[in-house]
Amino acid sequence: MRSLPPSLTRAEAAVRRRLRAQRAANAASTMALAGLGMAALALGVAKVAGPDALPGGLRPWIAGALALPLLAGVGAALRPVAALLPAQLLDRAHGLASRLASAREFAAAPEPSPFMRAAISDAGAHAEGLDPRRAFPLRRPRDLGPAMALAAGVMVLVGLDVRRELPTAPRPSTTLEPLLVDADSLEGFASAVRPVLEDRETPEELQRAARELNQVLEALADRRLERSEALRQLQRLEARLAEGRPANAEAMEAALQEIGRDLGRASLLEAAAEALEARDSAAAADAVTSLAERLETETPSRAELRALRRALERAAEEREERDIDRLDREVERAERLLQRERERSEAEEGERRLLRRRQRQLERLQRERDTLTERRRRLERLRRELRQSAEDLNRRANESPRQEALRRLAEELNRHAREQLTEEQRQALERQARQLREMIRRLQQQQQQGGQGQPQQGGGQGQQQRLRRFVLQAGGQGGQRARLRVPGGQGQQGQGGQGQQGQGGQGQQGQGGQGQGQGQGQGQGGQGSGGQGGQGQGGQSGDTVIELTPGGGGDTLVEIPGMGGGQGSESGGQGPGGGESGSGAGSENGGAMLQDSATDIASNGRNTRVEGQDGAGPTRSEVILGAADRGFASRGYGEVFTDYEGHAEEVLERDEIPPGYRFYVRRYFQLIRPRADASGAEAPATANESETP
Amino acid sequence: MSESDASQPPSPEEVVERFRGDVARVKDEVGKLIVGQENIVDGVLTCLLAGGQALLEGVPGLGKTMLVRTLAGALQLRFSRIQFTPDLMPADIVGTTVLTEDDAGHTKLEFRPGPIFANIVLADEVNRATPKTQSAMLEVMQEHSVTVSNRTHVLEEPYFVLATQNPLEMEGTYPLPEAQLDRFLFKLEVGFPTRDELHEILDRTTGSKTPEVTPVLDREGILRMRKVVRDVAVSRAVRDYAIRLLEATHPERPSAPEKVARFVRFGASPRGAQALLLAAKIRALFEGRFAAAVDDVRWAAKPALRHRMILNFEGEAEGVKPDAVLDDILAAIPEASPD
Repeated sequence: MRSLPPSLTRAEAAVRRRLRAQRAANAASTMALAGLGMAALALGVAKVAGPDALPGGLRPWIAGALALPLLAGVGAALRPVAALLPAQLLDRAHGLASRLASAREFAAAPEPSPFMRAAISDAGAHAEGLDPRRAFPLRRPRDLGPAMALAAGVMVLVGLDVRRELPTAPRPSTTLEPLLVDADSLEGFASAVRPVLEDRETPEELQRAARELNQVLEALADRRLERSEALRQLQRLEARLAEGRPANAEAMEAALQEIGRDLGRASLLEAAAEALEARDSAAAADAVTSLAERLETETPSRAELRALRRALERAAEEREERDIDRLDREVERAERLLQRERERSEAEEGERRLLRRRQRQLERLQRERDTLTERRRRLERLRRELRQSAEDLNRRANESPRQEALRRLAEELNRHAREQLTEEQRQALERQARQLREMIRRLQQQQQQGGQGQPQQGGGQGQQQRLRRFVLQAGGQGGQRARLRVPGGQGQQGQGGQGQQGQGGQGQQGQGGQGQGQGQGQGQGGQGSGGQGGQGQGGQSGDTVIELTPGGGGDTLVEIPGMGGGQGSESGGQGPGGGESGSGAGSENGGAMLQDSATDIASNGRNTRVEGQDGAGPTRSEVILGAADRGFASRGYGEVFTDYEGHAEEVLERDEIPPGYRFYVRRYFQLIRPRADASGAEAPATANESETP
Repeated sequence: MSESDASQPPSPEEVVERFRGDVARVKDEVGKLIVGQENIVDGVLTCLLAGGQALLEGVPGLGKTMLVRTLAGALQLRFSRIQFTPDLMPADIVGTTVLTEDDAGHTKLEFRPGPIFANIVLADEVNRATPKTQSAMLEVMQEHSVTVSNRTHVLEEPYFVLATQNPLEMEGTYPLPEAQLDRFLFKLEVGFPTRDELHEILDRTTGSKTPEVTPVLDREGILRMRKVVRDVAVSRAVRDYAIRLLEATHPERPSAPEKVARFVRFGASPRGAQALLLAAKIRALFEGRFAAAVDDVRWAAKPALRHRMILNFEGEAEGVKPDAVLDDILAAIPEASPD
């Protein structure tokens, strides 16, 4: 074998290297496409589903993607190059007419001919100056462009921050569902709030509360408010209104009534006394003013003046303030307990907790005492004016300035009248807020019941809704009262006021203004017509009765066929029915008298008289059970209620109870509160209240 | 030259150099009368040196006959010209046996050789003879011998037939059969001269002085050159390339280009590969090389293969030229073997 010229061998080796490099680059770029595609896929999966979604994690995939073109390049570079290819490429590039390729082949021949040897020599002569780059210029790999583009895409993917849901515990659903309240109901509330807003003499704090309630209504109308938030705002509003409540206004008015009775002994002050007894401070102030004006022109008799002075002196006498004394004693006792427990120990957690409860109890008692003190201060001022008037009348019985004393008294009564008006507005706002809250709560219940009607309520849900809306729109007017009943069919508790109402149920005696109709579905509506048209009627089971009680007028009774209930009302009204007798049961001896007429003779009614029995009276459980049957109007029930409510309040103050639950407990006691005491005085009633069994 | 030097065979370099010198002298003499047509001259010389025959195709007046006559004049060989006509009989070209009487009065049959018995035979317008007459040329062209009356007469070497035909006049012609075409080493297409060449032609042929062609190469010289041609080395890669070209002319082969598969009915015979290699060797010698190259094969591809491919009906109908098919083949077949 003849040796080839070194220059030819070198050139061939260089070309061979270039060939391998080009092959490696081509293979690497081609496989880089696959590798980058794999990397992009793995990165995408890792970004979206997390690295754990890839078998073995992300790193092996990336390593594989990088190794793929590397291995392909190495494999291509190691692949053998055809022996003659470099020489052929050199021949073609330099125009050597296959000299080099032929020479390489001839050199390998076992017995080269003379022409072969000459060809080899000739190739050697042409091997100088061979340029491998000309023979095989390196070109850009054909897949380099797409690979670079794909690599750029992968880099973008690396830098891309894909937000993904971590597989953590599912979050509680916090979707806020706007509360949907029909526009008519909201308009009813808004119309009730509007007079407070428009009254310029309304105190600023009440104006602010009214505006807040209006904002809540607007937010509900715009569906911007969620149920819990609406309830929270209403609770806050109620709390603020409760804070602004004058100290024990009810007791204050009771005291004024008492003063009115004392003043009534004087004939000159008879009109003012009647107004005070009717709790109308403004009318009382007008009466006193007109008396003062009359005294300027007329000279009353000496007897009249003496009676006037005595009445004023009597009204100025202080009554015993037992409540304040009791509270003072309780406050002192609580302070002593608190001080003792403070001194005893502060080490234990249980002790500290007890201490905090005591502290809260003390604060509550102090607040209560403060309110009573305020009441006493105001009454004291009024009595001072009364006493001053009496002294003026006594000292200068024949002098003209006696009118001045009466004018000062009238001014004081006027001030009280203004406060009374403000109190009414506050109560109206508080009532609207409470009713709105109740409606929101019931809306939620209706949604939970899937909008299905309740059969025992005797009517469809839509009908109830319309009735409730009607009641809301009818109510809310000052001094009016409306009551909606949707009984379940077993008769309803009768309700009346002032001991004058008739008694529901056929033929039964309505006693004491309280009783319950036991309609039982048999009554065909005995039509009672009392002195002022009180009536008793028993509807059929499942009927609904709506009672609207205007403040000053007679009640209106609306019966919707198909819905039932027994009902007694104060005056007026016509109860349909008639026919067969109904059965009913009355309870509690009435104080004032029954003004309703006897049961219609035409009906087959039957009178029943219940006699009281001497003895220890019922036990507490019997009282409660009796209240469930007969209503919340007995004196025994009132005592039990007071006792239980006090205990509940104490527990609420003492224990750590969520505010929402406190609300429900208080609401419960508010619902089961005594309706009236045994003397026939009606407990503070909530107007515009709707009830469902 | 010393005695020892004379006893040693000449080196390839010397042989090739001498070869090239002889060829150059012949070309110079031919060039005295023939203007241009270097490819045709090279092709004719290639056929002569390869021991094959040449078919010249061209319109009348392009100097085909002149070329052959000039070549014959440059070579110190016997030349004969046969004008083929339809009534030409085989005996007219091969020769006949006649009854003769010697001086003693004895009669005997004596073979009178025809014009085919020469070193260079010009078969002018060969396609005008009948197939019978044309077929009389088959043995001569392939075997360089003539059998008459059961007696074979070997022709003197070098024997070289140059046939011409007119591609335009098809009336009264007989296309050469495939077997006879295959016996031509090259089919050379004589093109029209350029303007400069025409100027030169007119100068030389219309003047009062006609150039004289003198013989520059004798019979022994040609035979020696033929032997040198056979000594030229051919690498396997070049040979492989020639074979692959030949295979590509066959439509049934996978390496056949699209045009071959569509327009070719039969591909070239193995004689085509032989022609390719011999021609490649001669061209290598022309260029002073000792081994044939792929480029040499490519150079020889068209003249060596164009008459060996038989077009199918579609190819004929479409007027496809064999050279166009060969262009496709040359473009499709890579120099390096894929194996």
